Amino acid sequence: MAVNPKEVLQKSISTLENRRDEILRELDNLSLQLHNQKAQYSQLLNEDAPIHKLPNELLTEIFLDCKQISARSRNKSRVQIPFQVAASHVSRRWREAILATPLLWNTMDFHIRPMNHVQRRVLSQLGAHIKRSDTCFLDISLNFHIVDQLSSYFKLLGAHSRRWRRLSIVTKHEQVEEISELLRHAEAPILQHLSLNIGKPEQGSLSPRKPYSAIAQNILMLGAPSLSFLRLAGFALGNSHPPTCFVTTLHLDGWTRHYMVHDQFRTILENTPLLVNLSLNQLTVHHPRDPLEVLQTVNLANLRSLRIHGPCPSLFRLIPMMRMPQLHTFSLHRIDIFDSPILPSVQTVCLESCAFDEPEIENLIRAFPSVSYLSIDEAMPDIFFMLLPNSPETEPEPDPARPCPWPHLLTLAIQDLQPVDVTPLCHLVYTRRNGPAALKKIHLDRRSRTVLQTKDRLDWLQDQLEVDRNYVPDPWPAGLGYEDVHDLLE
Amino acid sequence: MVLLVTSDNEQFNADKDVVERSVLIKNMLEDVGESDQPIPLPNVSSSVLKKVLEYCEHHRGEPLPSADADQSQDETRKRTTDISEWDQKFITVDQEMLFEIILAANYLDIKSLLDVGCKTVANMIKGKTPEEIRKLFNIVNDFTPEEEAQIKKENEWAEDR
Repeated sequence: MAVNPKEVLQKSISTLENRRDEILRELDNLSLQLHNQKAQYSQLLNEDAPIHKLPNELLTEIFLDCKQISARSRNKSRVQIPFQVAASHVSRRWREAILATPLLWNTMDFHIRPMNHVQRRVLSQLGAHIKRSDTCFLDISLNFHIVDQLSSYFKLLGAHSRRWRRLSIVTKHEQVEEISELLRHAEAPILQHLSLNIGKPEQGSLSPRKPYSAIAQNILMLGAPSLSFLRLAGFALGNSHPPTCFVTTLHLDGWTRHYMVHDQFRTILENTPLLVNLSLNQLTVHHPRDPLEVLQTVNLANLRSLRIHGPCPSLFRLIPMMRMPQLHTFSLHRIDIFDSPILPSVQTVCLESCAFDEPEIENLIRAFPSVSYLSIDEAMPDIFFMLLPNSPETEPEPDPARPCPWPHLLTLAIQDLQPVDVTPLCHLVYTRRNGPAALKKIHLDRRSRTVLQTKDRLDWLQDQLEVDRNYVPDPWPAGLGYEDVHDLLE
Repeated sequence: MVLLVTSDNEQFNADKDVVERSVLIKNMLEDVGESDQPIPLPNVSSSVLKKVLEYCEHHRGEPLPSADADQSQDETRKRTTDISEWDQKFITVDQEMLFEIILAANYLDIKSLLDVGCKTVANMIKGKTPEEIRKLFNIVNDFTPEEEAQIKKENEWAEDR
């Protein structure tokens, strides 16, 4: 039988192909073996590195410190990759230690922007945090700049609601329904902090102003037994209200197209009986038109701190609505007109960007007779004259009937002092240097300190009273114990 | 005075209120009562103990963290990531010594010194890429190809932040 050369060649080719595949497989195996042995060798080398003398518990301690530091400087960092991810790419030992430490993964801070938004990647990262945080509580901060596709994120997070400790959501667009869906029936027994800042509607007429539609409880319907901090901002106010019976810190951040009627405001406060800190930001409360209508006062028996951020058109009608026998700290931001009944319990007054003129300052002095701590900025230079004591040093013919303004004032905190205000400030300190109304301490921020230094008055000031040269205003409210990054978000 | 003996058999005499910053030594002294017996420290070398005693001497008299410090106190300690000027100077040593101090602080149970050491290392790591961290600590890449593949995937996460 004649041999077919084609068949012979075909057979030979097939044999060669099989052999080639075999060799390639062998080569792959060899490469894998080589890589693995190289990795093993590198692991042995790493045992000699001084840092590898530390046991895992100490490495973990260092990584937890890194987490703290990177949280503080997250905006300044040039490295985009999160710390725990970068550190888990250093060596096998580090990776094992990091992946086995849930506390390194339980904080999630995501900014989801339309540019470069690949949902698969973000979901995989979010999923890694959830998985690696094991059963640990979750502190979640989500900042959505995208229009849709939120539900996938919420679905993933919603399955772990029992682990939520802090949940902060900011959306650029009006996404009430998606958020309500996430929160309506969520079981969140350990949720302490809820901050919802929902963007405004993009379409439809925004004018005229409308009342908030509803303030009844419509989220966390299964209860929120640990919820002590609540922020409702933007479109969340009037749309997404959780139970507030255990809330001690409440932020109500309004927006220009809505107003709250008096009864709504009263109901919210009445439903928050343990309130200690209240912040009202750009909140417009409409009062009844009939001036003779008697308004019911809300008793805020535990309220210690009240902050009002303007614009607030009717401060003089808002404050009398609340009975605040324990109020200790009163903060005003961007308020132009001040008139209030007397609040004798207030000892700390903080004013920022409040351009009060003389009559307003007189009202201020009258309203808070017990002030011992005053924080101001450059917006209110007249205060230095208004606080001068009634003495022959300041007035040629002192009026004995006029008492010393704020006789209990001990401490001044100053931000952004202007060069022109150095002399009035020094004059005030000098004239109130002795006697029962003497100032004891002054806090200066960096700019104020520099201005005083330039005018050669810093050393003089230090001779008169105690000077703190590195004043940085405390976050609000005092004693929160963690950073509230969404406070007064524009 | 208390007599301490290091792993390399050197003896150190130190005031009781200085060495009692170490919870380990404090407990040992309480256990043995009044005694002239030297306290052996088999896990600490003389060069490291010298540094540790310098630290304890400088911080003599400062309040010690209470044993029953609750979680909030612990969180406050953690949040304070700043290191005082003196401590910064004190801890400016070569890496070998830095890690020895951390190990000694852990063994001797001196919480504040352990904090200073850990925060110093954390500050060294801050803002660095994996390659920069490896270079800093003389570590080599020891990942297997499978692990490398996973790491490559995780690197994509940075693009979305």
